[in-house]
Amino acid sequence: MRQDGKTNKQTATELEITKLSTVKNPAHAPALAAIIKSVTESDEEENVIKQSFMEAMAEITLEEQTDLLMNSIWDSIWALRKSIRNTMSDSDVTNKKEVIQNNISDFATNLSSVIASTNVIKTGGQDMKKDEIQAMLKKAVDPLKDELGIAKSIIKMSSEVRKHFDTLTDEEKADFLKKSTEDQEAVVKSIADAMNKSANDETAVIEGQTVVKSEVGAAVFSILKSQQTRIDKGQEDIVKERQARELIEFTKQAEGMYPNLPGESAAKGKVMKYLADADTDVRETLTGMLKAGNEGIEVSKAFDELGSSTVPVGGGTPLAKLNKMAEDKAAEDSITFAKAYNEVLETPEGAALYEKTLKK
Amino acid sequence: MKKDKLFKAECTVTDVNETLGIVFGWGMVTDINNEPYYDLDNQHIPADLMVKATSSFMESARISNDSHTPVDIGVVVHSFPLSSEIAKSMGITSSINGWMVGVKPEPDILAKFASGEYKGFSIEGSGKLEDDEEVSE
Repeated sequence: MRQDGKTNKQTATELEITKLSTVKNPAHAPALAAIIKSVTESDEEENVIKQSFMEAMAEITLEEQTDLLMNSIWDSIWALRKSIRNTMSDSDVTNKKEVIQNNISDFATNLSSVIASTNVIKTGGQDMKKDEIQAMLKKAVDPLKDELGIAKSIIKMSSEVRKHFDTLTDEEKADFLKKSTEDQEAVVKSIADAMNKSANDETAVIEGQTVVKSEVGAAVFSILKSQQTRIDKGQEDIVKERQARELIEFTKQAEGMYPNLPGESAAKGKVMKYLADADTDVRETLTGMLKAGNEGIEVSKAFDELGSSTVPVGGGTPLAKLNKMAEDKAAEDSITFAKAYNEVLETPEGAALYEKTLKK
Repeated sequence: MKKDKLFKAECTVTDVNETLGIVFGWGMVTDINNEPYYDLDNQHIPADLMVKATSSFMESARISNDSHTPVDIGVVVHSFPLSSEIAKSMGITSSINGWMVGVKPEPDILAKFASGEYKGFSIEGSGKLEDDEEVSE
């Protein structure tokens, strides 16, 4: 039915389709449209043609009424949505829960009055009864109500519960929202308790295993920890004893190998210890230097004793013999010079030579 | 005279396939028996405009609602703009040309088509109309 009331031929020059609607009676349905296009069966077409101008006008009026009704409903919905958003984002509003509940209450009252004022309207050329409108509205409004329900639940949360809620995934949030307020708070409390317990708990590493005080009990934990302390102390003592023994050995080596070098025997022992731990090339270089220094001083002493330069350098002295034996032993057994020297000192010949070096 | 209009054009369905859940029918008719189709209001949508408008619709919305309410109830799963030129190129002979559609509505709407309560489709949109005298000028 044309709104302009004319019947002359018209042709569309522009057209944009936004929806394809399913309808009861495709023969005639003014609704929002000013133009109705139909392919109908002949009898239906005849019926439509026979409709009076007044009927058409009445339909248009009803359609306009429908539009007004729907517009007012959607206006209410959007107004509610806007007011809720504003309330939730306004940090000055401290009683958000009450404000939103009032908004929803006003919305419900307004919607009820709008629907109550409508008994039967027409849309799309077909009658829609009150219950149909309500069903349609329910379908449109239900998703919004769900959103409002979620928003209300979130607003009701305590700060602790809300803090926990914000850490959840969407799926976890949906499950969490299904819980009662009491259950939600119980979940958060149990998590907080567990965290506090963990923060206040004590642990100790016993023989490589981490032992938690709350799991084994305070008494057992104390015993285990004391045992571990004793074990650690014992190991520390063992290390110290071994280091002291090594120092004695190294000192003994130093006295045998470098008797002519100046310095305390203990200090020389520490040098020997350093050499034993040093890299091979460093050890060999320093050992060579120490030996040369020691032998140089010995030759100097010989000159002092004999007043002659005809004394063979090194080769005939007990120290030179000991060095030679140690070098041969080291080469033969593929061991360090220091170790070879110790072993040579343990032999009767080595011990005798060592005694001779001390008598100088 | 040009007029901005809200469009609503309606057509009857031709088949309801309950197994597939699809309702087939004409979404729009442009000509019958090679004559421009003018509807009850003496208004006509040319084939080229039909092809353009339906192509745009299928590229974007493809949505079907119930009785011109804001409640969407399905999608247009099949669409073919059968102009006389396209029909000829496809080897199709048809006394009716226009927009052929297949709509898959929700089960309750499909049941209404199956029972005969619902009989057709109706397009919504906007556009312009010119009196034929102006068009011919």
